[in-house]
Amino acid sequence: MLSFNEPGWFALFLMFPVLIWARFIWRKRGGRIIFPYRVWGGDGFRPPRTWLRSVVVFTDILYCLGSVALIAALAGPEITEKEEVYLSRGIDIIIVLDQSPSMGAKDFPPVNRFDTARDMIRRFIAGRSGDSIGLVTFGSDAVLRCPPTADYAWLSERIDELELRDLGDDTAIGMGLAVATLHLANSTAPEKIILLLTDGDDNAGEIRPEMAARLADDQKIRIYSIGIGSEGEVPIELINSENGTVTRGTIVTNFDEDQLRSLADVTGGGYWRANSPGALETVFQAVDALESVVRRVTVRVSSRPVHRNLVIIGSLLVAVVYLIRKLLLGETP
Amino acid sequence: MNWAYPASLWGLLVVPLAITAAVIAGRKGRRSLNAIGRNSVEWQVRSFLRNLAMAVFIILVVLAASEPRSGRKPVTGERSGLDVAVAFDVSRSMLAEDLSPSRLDRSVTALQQMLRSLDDSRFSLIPFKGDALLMVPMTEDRVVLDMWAGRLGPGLFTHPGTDVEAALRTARDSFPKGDGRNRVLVLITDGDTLSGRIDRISRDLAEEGIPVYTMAVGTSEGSTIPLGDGSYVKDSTGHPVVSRTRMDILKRLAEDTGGSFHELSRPGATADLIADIEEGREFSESRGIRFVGVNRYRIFLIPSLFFLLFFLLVRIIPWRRR
Amino acid sequence: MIKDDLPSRVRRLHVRSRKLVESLFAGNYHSVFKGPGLEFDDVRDYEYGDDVRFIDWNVSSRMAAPYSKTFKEERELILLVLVDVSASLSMGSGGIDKREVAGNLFALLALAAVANNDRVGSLLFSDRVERLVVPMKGRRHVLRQISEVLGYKAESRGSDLALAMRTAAQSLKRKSIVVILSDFRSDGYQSEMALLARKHDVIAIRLSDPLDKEFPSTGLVELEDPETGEGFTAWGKSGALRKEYAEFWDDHRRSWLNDCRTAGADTLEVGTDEEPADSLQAFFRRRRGA
Repeated sequence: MLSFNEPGWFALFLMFPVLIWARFIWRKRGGRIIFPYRVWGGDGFRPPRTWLRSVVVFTDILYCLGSVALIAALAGPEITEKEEVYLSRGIDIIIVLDQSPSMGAKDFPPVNRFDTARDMIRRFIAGRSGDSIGLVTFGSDAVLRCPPTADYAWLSERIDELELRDLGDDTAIGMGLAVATLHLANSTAPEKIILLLTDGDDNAGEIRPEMAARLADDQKIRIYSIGIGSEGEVPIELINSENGTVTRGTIVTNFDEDQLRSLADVTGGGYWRANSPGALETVFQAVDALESVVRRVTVRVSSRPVHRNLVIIGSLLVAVVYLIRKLLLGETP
Repeated sequence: MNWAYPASLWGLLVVPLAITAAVIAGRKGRRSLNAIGRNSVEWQVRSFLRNLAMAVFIILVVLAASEPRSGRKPVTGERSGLDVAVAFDVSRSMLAEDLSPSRLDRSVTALQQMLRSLDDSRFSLIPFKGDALLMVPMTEDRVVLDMWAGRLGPGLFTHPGTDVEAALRTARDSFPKGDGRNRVLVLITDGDTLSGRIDRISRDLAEEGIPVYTMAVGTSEGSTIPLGDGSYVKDSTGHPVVSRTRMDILKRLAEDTGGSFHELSRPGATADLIADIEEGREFSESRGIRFVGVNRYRIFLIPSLFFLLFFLLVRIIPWRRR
Repeated sequence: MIKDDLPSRVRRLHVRSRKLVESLFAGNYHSVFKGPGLEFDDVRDYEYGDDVRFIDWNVSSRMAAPYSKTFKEERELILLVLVDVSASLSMGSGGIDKREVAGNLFALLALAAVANNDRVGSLLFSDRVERLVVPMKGRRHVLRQISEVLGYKAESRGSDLALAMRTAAQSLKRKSIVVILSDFRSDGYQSEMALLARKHDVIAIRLSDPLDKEFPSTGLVELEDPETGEGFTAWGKSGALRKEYAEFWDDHRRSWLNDCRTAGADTLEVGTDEEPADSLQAFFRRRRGA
């Protein structure tokens, strides 16, 4: 939006009608050279219409536009943007995402569980504002991909970079939770949340999920666990990123529903099961709704001055007019 | 007074052109008047004044476009909390040992001290060399920050050089949108062979009210740069390269953006830096105002418009009727 | 060119006019100006050989005998000069404008007339009659008229030739020599000129300037017509403008020549770049030869 920080300068436009009248209409204006060319009571010499007339009118208009631009620049034009700003501290969320090969199962169209989950996470992030969100992924081991941050762009880049099987073929849920807990431990956020997405049983890592949940609870972190995957045999397709070979097959995955529920219960969180993309979306919406806290929001107006462009445009117009009329056409005076 | 767009001052080179143009225009005008038999003092004075007015207009408008800046003005806006973006120089000259044990080690210590002292703040970490990278996004997570602070070194980039502009720009972009927090930029560099258009980013930061606190690592006397194997970095003629800190540039940057300048070689420099940052934050939080640079382009634009008007009036006003 | 003050200008013109008079008018003044010709003097008895045209029928019928009119030739000439003082005469490319040339011509003619002991009158006109001095004799009277004409400031800007001619015709009772000093940038004077020329010896002197023939090679200039206040923006480098301009004023000059010939007035053109005395000299030589 365009606004002016000193609009009073626009009053200079009041001079325009006077100046235009004095320059073009006023009979007694100066700058006209006395040169008899009429015949009294008769006709006299009629100047022929030439292209010159258009050049003169055109340059007069340019001169006016140049002055308008300079006056507008004087009024201090700014592009202002209204921005909602969160004054209070938002909550901290770490998403703990299963990166084990079984996430390649194709029961979550369009591609697979992993990509659908990634999509949902992106959408979830887009819906939040003012919160810090981090990302931990786990396979045989767990890694912090992104610390809790409000820099969602950076987080999205990390999400995009993820590839299945980066971290081995196992499912170390406990490690994932522990890493997330570690990075949330000294957060000053009023609410700390771990969002766990997995499709399998914990089968690796030095830390058991129950242990990790207790650690999380000590730090007042709540765990929301989401089990994903449909029952029965599902086709799976894995692409080796190093040599491009594709492995196809079917697997049967099952997650320990009781365990996931108990993780949530211990920490005062919640457990959902998502056996389809639609269900997963609903789950994310539920989490989103649960963790909406009332926050102090203010509207901040940020402005970017644009007067310099007008100064440059205006002065160039005036200079061009001077160049054309004085130098090319040799205007006098 | 300094200029926000000093490059525009080159525009003053058109002044001799403008004067030449005015002289040519004046000559053409005289020829015209002679031809029509109206050459009089009145017309010559008129022509001269008009050309003069145009030349003065051009000078003033170029100065206005160069945007003189001086002083700072308060802007209201409630802010709480503190975001610190740390641009950290990891160029090879940071290995110089004029500070013991080395510039790099001392800088890392300073950074860690900052992380500890400003404990409720968020930090982002931008190591830079010929290139800059947002290594840690704006976060409160001390575990990550401490971990990366320990890993800073010239090995992070292959691009040689010290592109301060890229670093400051990346650092500026690391402040998340929609946050009502105080923003502060800390530049830790040995300030040697700085590249990039510092004036440009400095102008942007000043406009947004983001102060840059500069920490100069190293000495003006300079030092040779060890390669680890006992030899030193040499230039093409075989002489060891001496890395010196360009204090003036760093001082200027801090001044222009409303931050402060510190020398790591002085005792207590880190503590002073931290104190300055906290003081700025407290001021902002208690008064609800902060300071942004003031653009004073109007002091040239107003007279330039006056001369533009004069240019017109000299023509319009009837002097005397014949 | 430094402009002289009025007295010295008059003095200078005086010297010039004396030369003019000496070289030209001496002895055969009346071969240049026909004068009123014969003036009725008296009636006497008709004698054999008298021209029957001169029989005064009024007297003859009253006296019942033929009477014949006698005439004497009029020696005194009456010179009335119509001087255009309109604003359009303020045109001159070489430092001297038409107005000044008109003044010089008037002075020359008036001084020559004084030398011949003729009566001189003047009529200054713009779009109205600014000043009328009936023809009178006397050196002092003529000199005063000269300085008045030279220094006259017109009250109005236009030029109404028809009005001036009408006024001249009304104020002149006897056949006179009427000299018109004007740029003839006025319209609708043709019938008045014909009327005037029927009774008087009319000499139309057109004041011209090189700027009449060719548009000056100016840059972009805004021009103002001093009489009407109209203006236009011109560029002297424009071929179309120069061509039309030259054609228009060439037409204007030719129609002036034509008008004068139709009306029976003699014509002379004096340019601002010419010496007025020389032009007059040449003109009179031509007239005497004719």
